[in-house]
Amino acid sequence: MSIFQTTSKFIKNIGSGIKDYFKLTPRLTKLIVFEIFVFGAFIGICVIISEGIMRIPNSPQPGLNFLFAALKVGISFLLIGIWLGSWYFITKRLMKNDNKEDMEKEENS
Amino acid sequence: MATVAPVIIYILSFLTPFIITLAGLPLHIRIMHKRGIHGVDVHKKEKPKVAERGGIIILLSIILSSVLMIILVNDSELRLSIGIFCITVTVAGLIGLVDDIVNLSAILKPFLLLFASIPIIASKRYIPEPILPFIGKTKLNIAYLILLPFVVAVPANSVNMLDVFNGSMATTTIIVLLAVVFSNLIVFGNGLDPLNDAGLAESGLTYIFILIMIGTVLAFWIFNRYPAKVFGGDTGSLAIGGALGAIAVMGRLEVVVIIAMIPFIMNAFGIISSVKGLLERREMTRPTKMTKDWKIESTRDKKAPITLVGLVIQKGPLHEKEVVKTFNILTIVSGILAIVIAVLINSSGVVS
Repeated sequence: MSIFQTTSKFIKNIGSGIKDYFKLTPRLTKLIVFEIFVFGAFIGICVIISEGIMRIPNSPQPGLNFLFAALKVGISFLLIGIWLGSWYFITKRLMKNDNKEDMEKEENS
Repeated sequence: MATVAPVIIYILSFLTPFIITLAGLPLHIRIMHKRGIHGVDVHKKEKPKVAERGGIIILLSIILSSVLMIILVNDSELRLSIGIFCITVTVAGLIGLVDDIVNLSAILKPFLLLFASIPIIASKRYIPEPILPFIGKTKLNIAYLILLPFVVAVPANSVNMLDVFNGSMATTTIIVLLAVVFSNLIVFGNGLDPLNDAGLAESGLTYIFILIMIGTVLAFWIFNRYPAKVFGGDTGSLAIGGALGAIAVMGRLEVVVIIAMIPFIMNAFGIISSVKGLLERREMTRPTKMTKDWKIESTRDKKAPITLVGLVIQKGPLHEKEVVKTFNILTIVSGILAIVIAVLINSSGVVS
């Protein structure tokens, strides 16, 4: 086999590989978008904590300072909890809705 | 004892488990077939009998490689850390082995996995300050201690839940491990600086753990890829998942590992939400069935758990190889996002 034939076969293989990838992608678009959403939401929460909650000043009074610190940690945990909760909830909805849509389509046909 | 150059340690920490697993699995497969310990690969037309409990070799490979690293590393603190990593993975793997033999209940298994992190807690091989992008080190102290058992148990269970097709667990965990290697390099800046005569610094330790895991899983993949010659069983998936958790804690890359494992966690969330709690795989209705041309399609059974597989095959049946390919694509995306997190942490200048 000549170098030209080998190279063209190699390029064809890569081409069909990419084609295969795009054949699968439409199914995955929703999931990839969701992954990016989970990531974006996490970054958003980090920005809120960094620019908002962490800016709460420390108090010179020890008792009050402890309260502020506890509040900062508490709110941060709440935000992370909301992130995890919404991740769980949206996953559940996404999977259930898709299942329902498919069942309806099947019944109609 | 003469100090071994760290670059040799890095090379050996990959090669040792790779060779052990590569040499051990053919022998294991023969023994399992001889003793009749095999499972049926239901996704193939011929319904081949595949050797079970390949995880035993995975576990042995991790233990032996860790012992070798303990001998080679010339620092008592680092030796202790490697030992603790090894014990944590062994505990997770042994829970899996018990489950493979006697079938633990769906509640007992994750509960027992919470104890896998005890060696890390007891030896204080953690810093209760997870690093977050923009925020930096967060001093969590007691809260971290409460969450720590879950950082090991959750990855272990979610890897176990995604180990459903030939090669799916191996390829996806290799992608996660590669993302963690790059993230470690980015977050801890001069990640390769420890390659000097003074020995390995703490960030260098993470490379040892990851290289041990990549060496093991890569060799396992050769036998577990389509068409599989061996199944890892719960021993393998729980050991690998437990290792990911231990790397997250001991390497201080908790957030990076969580983001890299988004598809795993998404799959676990789907299963838990649809069956309303924890159920053992054997207790659940099968979510998939085979078509006439041996592709995987959804059973549409309302009682079946909603899994990532179910979501991927909803638009139409797919071949087993294609399903694994989609898992890989999803994990590559989450791996890239994990590296982005590492870049954000680094660019915020929060690690000193």
